[in-house]
Formats: sequence, C-alpha cells, structure tokens
Amino acid sequence: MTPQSAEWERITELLSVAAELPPEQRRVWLRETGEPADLLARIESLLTAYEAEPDFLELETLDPEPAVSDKLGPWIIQREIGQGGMGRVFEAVHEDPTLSRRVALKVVGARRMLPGLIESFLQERAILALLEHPAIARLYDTGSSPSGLPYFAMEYVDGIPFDSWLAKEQPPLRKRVELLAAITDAVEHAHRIFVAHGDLKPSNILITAKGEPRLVDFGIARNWTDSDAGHLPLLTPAHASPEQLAGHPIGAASDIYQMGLLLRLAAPEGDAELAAIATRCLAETAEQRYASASALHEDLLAWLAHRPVSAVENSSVYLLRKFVRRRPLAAALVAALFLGMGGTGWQGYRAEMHRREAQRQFEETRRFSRALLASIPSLPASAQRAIVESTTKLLESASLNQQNDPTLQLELSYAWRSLGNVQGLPTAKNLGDRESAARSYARATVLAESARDAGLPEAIAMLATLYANAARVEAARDRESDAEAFTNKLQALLPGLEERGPSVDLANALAELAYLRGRKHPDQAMVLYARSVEMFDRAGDLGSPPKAFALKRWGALLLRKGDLDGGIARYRQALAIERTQGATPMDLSFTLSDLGLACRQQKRYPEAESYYRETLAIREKAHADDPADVRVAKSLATTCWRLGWVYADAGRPLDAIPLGRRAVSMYEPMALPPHDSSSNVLDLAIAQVYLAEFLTIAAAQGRRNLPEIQALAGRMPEVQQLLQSAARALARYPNDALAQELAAMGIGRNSKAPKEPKQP
Amino acid sequence: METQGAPADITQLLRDWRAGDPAAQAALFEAIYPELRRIAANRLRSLSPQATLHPTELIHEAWIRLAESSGLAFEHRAKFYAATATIMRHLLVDRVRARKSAKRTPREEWRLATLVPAELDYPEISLALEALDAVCERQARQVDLRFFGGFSAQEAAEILGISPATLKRDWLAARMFIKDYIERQR
Repeated sequence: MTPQSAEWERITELLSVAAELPPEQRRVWLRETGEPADLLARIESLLTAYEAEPDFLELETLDPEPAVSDKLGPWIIQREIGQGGMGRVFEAVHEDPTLSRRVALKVVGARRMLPGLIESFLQERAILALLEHPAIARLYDTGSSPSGLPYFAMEYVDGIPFDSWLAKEQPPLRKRVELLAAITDAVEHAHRIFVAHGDLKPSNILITAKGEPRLVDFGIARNWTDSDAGHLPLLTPAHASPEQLAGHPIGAASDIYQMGLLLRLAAPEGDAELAAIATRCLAETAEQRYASASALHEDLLAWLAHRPVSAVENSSVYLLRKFVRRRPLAAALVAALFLGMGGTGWQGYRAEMHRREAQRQFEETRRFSRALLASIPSLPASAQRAIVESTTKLLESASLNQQNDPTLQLELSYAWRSLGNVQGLPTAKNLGDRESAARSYARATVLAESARDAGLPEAIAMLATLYANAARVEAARDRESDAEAFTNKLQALLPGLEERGPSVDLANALAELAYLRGRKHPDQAMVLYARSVEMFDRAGDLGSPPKAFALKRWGALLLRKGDLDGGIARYRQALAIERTQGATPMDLSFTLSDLGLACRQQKRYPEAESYYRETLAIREKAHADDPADVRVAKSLATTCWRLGWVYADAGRPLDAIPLGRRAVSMYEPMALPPHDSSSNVLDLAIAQVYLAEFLTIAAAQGRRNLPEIQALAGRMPEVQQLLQSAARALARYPNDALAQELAAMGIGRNSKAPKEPKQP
Repeated sequence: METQGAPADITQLLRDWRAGDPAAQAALFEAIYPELRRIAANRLRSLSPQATLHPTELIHEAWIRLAESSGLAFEHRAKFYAATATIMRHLLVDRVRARKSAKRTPREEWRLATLVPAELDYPEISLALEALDAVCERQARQVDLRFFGGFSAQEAAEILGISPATLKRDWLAARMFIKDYIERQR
C-alpha cells in the first residue's frame, strides 16, 4: 500500500465518523483528533464539498417500498397495478370511505434510484397538472411520503391496453381509427403546451368498457422548450422513434412517429390510405412526417369522412377514386360516358346498338355526367385540380372523335363549359386559372357553334351562357375590350332567342347581359333587368333562383339610384321567391339585411328592425353552429351594429348601445395581428365609430332625461377612446376611400346632435 | 460465428488482468465492447414492447448475461463485473464527448448513444474516478459498479468482497473525493 493510499484509508475513516455528527460539531471534533494540520485541511475541504451537496451521486432511497394497506397522504394502497421506468403504480382509495374515489397512485422509485429520477418524476407530475383532456387520465392529488419522496394520484382508468382491446373486441376498422383520432387529439392537446408524451405505446392507451380511450403515463413526457438538463433518456425500444434511439430529446415528431406505429397495429393491412398515413408518420426524419399532430388528426378525420387524405400523393387517380367512393353512381357513369366515347367512340357505339337503346343510355350517362360536373365546385381545390386535369384529357380525346354529331357536340360543349367554370369563373368557387378557363370556353364555343350551325336550337342558349361566362372571365383578367366583345356577341344572340318566343333561356340571357352592361351603364342594366324579369314571368317562371337573383340586382340598382320604394319592392319579390325555393338561411340573410338597410333609409324603422332581427337570428344560429367560420362571425357583428343604427335613428339609443358593444367586442380579436388585414381593422373602426355615435346620442338625450342616461354622459371618455382608436385604424389606411369617409364622419361628429350617418 | 469464441477470450483476459498485466484491461475493453453492444442490441430488438427500460439497466442485463454465458466462476465474474463497470464508464464518457463534438449521432451508433444520461458531467466524474483509483482502487470500483453498472449496494459489496459497513464508509468517502476533486479542477 502506498503512503498515499494509507493516508486515504485514514481519511475515509475520519470522514465517516465526521459525517455522522451534526455539521456544526464536525470541525471541532476533527481538530480534537490531533491529526496533522495538512491532513485536517484536506478533510475540511472534502467536508465542505460534501456539505454543499450531500446527495451528490447518491443513488438509493432509504424509503421502504410502499406496500398494500400502506397509506400515502389520504390514500390507502390496495394493490400494485404496475411498475414503470421510474416508479410503481398502485390502485388506492381515499381514507374517507364516504369519498368512494378510486385512484391510480404513482410513487417514485425504481429498482435502483437512478440519477435524475426524482426530477423526472416531478416533471411528470407538473405536466399532468397542465393537461385537461377527455382522453387523458387526469391528476387529482399530489403529495410526498414522510421521508419526502413524491407521489401523485390520478384518475383510475378501468380499462384494458389498446392491443388487448384489439385482440379481445376485434373492433371494426372505423372504430379503431376513431379511437386513434381521439388519442391524436389528446396528443395534440399536450403539444399545444409543448409537451411530448414520448412513450405512446399500446399499454399506455387504456380502453374503458365504454370503448373510450385514455392516454396514461406521461413518465417520460417532457416540455420540449426545456433544456436537456434533468432528463432521463428513457425509452421503450420497440416503440421508439429513430431520433429517440439516437439519443435526441423527444418532441412532437417522435409522438407522431409512435402514432404511426399504433396506426399500423390497429390497421395492419388492406387500407391503402391508412397505410399511407402510417408511412407518413413513420418517415425516417421529422421533416418528412406530419408537421403537427393536428395535421395527422385532420387526415384521420378525413379518412373517417371519406375525404381525400393528405398523406396520399395528390395523384388524380387517387382523388378520383376517393370521389368515386363518395358519389359512386355519378362517377361510374361519367366514366362510362368518357371512356365509351373516347375509346370506341360514340359513332361506333351507336352503330352497334339499336338507336333508341343508344339514345337511352346516352341520356342516362349525360344526366350523371352532368351531376358529376355540377358537383366539382363543392370539392376541395386539390381534388378539383386533379379532376379538371384528367377530365380535360378525356374531353380532348373525346372531342377529336365527335365532329359530326350535334347532340354530342353540345354535350361536350357543356362539359368544357363546366370545366371552364371550375377553372376560373369569378362568380363560382374556382381555381383562379382564368387562362385555362378562357381556353375551355373557347373549346366549348367551337362545339356549340358547330351544333347551332347544324340546326340544334338548344345550342343558342348554350352559347349565350358561354359568351356571358367568357365576358366575366375576361373582365376578371382586366381585358376590357375582350369582355366587351363577348358581351356584344351575347347581345347579338338575343334576336335568335326571341324568335323562339318567351323562354327562361332568353330571360337568363337578358339578366346576364344586364349584369355585364351594368358594370359601366347602370341605366341600361335596369332596363335589361326589367325585361329579364318580365321574360321570366312570361315564360311561366314563378320563382327560380336566377329570377330572384335578377330581382335583387335590379333592386340594388334602384336603391343606389334613390328609388327606395322600387328597390324595396324588388327585394321583397326576391325574398318571397327565396323563402319558397329553400334558399339557405345564410343566403336569405343577405337579402333580409339589404332590405333592412333600404327600409332604414326610408325611415321605415319597424320594418327595418324586423328584417334585421330575422337576419340577426339566422346569423346567431350560424355562428353558434360554427364559431370558427370568420365570414359568419363578421356578418353577425355587422348585423349587430346595423340593427343598433336602426335603434339609434329611431330614438332608442339605449337599445343600440349593447348591440354596438357586441359588434366592437366581436371585431376586436379579429383586428389583432396576425389577422389585422385592412378590412378587419376597418370593420372594427366602423363598429367603434357607430358605438361612439350611439353613446353620444344617448348622452345628448340624457341632459333632460333619466339618471341612467346621465350616467352614460359621464362616460364620454369611452367615446373619445373609441374614436381615437378608430382614428388610429383609419390613419393606417390613408388611401382607403372608406376609411376617409368614416374618418370624416366619425371624428367630426362626436359632440353634435345625431344626423343621418352615411352608409359605409 | 465470431461471438462463439468471445467468452473464452474474456476468461483469459480476466486471468491476465488479475495477474497484474497492465495491458489486459485495455484488451478486455476491446474484447467486451463489441460483445456488449451486440448483446444490448439483441436485447433491444427482442425486448417486450411493454417494457420501458433505463438504458443502464439494459446494459447491466447485457453483461450479466455475458458473464453467465462465458461460464466464469463467481470470483471471475466479480472481476468481470468490476471491469465491465469501468468499461461502461468509458463508454459513457466517449459517448458524451462524441455527442458534444458531433450534433448528429451516426445511425449505427444509436444504441450506445441511448446509454448516456445527460444530467451529469461524465467526463469530469471519470477523471475524478481515475484520480481516486490511484489512491483507493476499491472505492473507485464501487462507484463504477453502483453508479455506472447499476448494481445495488448489496451486490456491490458481494462483488467487491467487503462488509456492508466498509461499503458504506467507502461510498461516502468516494463521493466526497469526486466532488472535492471536481471542484478543485474548476
């Protein structure tokens, strides 16, 4: 033994005795041992280091392990449920038998106390306290044992692990996916507070007897905004993501990876879309996976709703297949139509078949292909694009073969027109591809002209719509002369249509022409609308959506011209049609709202109030049904201040104020970054100006009225504040005409008696 | 198979190491490192999907298996455990250094990367242990066995062949030594 070693043996002995003493006595005792000064100095240095952190490198807990019928806090342990990476879990009940609450009690401590274990345990506890989700077992109570080891009590989930549940219940695929969607939602909830679960595996997903999932064991979960410190690299090998295995900290991406494993377990084979979703989750690198749990959730919901799944390549074949699943009949027949024509050709088909039979089949396919084409606008843009692409190809090959049959030419013309509408007709839901739209209309026009020249009378109506749509598209491309040329072509068709007597086609053509002319010449438009509505009547059309639309446009032009009675009368006709034709409540609400505006201008306040009340009721309901729909929320807020305005004008400012406040409070969040578009900021400003107006009117009345109104007058600073805020908003958009108008109106008038505010 | 011969080699190496051959430990390290990795990797693959394991437990299991399968007598096994605990420490330190120098761990290295808890400064602790080893090998081995090897106090006492009282005394002194040493180096 070296002298050094002998000395260290001596030091070891002295240290063990000293450490047993109370800290303040240690050095006194050491000096009494009579050891040499250099040895004592060394020992004191060691003691000082020790005292700064007595638990340094300490591994094992001195606590006896908890056992059945032990008590921790108010909880009496009943049985051990499981043993995890860093603790044991017991079923426990509350000591107060009247509280029949059963909990899962998790106690820190593994077979060996490993460094960082307690920190991780406390972290789990802190994370659980932040989570509140129906699919996450919730935290009830926390505490520590007499010697200070932490525990917590959480919701006892009487359920079986996901994999056992799959084996036992053999649930249908749909149910499995619904369940995983619920778990993904829970994971997303945790991600929202930057917590990754890190150990999503079958045994951590318990399914209750009711078939509800609960996510448990956040034992290795961590807040990914924290640094690495204090984190144990625990993992479950079979369920770990590549980056976990590489020792990197867990994050949202590793949870998504583990969800992919669960999905594969739940849907082992067969479904290509679920396989694609799982593959996307299981990508080697985080960047290739879903960007978020909500994106994954979205795809699972899409799968459940038979909508296209983003994980699948946006191939037209896939999207069409998806479409086929939702509208099988229409799709089958359009395929028959296109393939029948494109392959053997209509002529060949007809030659083989009896003419009437062929005609019958043709009619059938035409009906369904039209249904399919009509349904395109309701599809998501990606699906539209794919369908448009493949339909274009089909149509091109079909068009080549069909030079001589006018019926078929007209049919193909219809198909090209539908395509053009989807590609870029401004008044419909469209892909914004105006150039392709123009090209499709041109193809349609060639076919329809050829059919007309062959003597098919319906071709003229087709051409009328085509010219009108083409004119709209050209106007949207700022090609005014082209728009003008198409408008003129449309006008040139009118005599041909008139020859055939009164018809809805003619009425529609007139309405289209009125719209196009009305862009520059409102007076011409009013005459044309009058003719159109008359033609609808003469053609026996008592109420169709195009007629209601023509009436509203006509009414709007009359209102703008100052003919309020005339305008209101047209609107009422349109409203009557819409009420009987089952227009959607939101569409109806726009007509009602316009009527309310017109009646208010006519000082017909009770009528205005009733129209706005109905508008408000419709929009309240729409807003309650879908609070996330910003368009609905904005329209509701607008209705609030507009109705308030009616009250203010009618001398009832106290009724107006709450409506004004509601409008302001609805717009406020919408005008905050990142939503602070000019229209949102200005909408708020408008509402603020009107609320200021209402308050001012109320205050002006208050000088001779009720104490309550006088109290309002005392709140004039609020008016100032509103106007200042509005003024700031308006100053942001100095070139906006509306902003200028409002600025002039609102800021200049706040202390004057009310007069008619301009319509914003 | 290359692994068939490994246990015999290890026995021989242990014998040499025991006989005081200073080169034996390095050779043992070389012999055991790949073997340990192989066992740990197999274990990771075959592990029940239900188990959440601390990586130290995993490697601990791996070398108990290695020791048992190599047919070592207990005395040899004790030496083996002590040696491999030290090796474990070296592995940890290497991995920490590698992780510090390279952000991305090569794919094939992942299994060992998982063996590194992040919260302590392992290279520092390791240096302190080398210093302790120079004055008291018994204490250094205890730290290796318990801290890096994951053996319990009782197991460590059996492996080292010391009484629980000595074990306790040594443990305290060793921890003080390491703490004091690290602070002096700063």
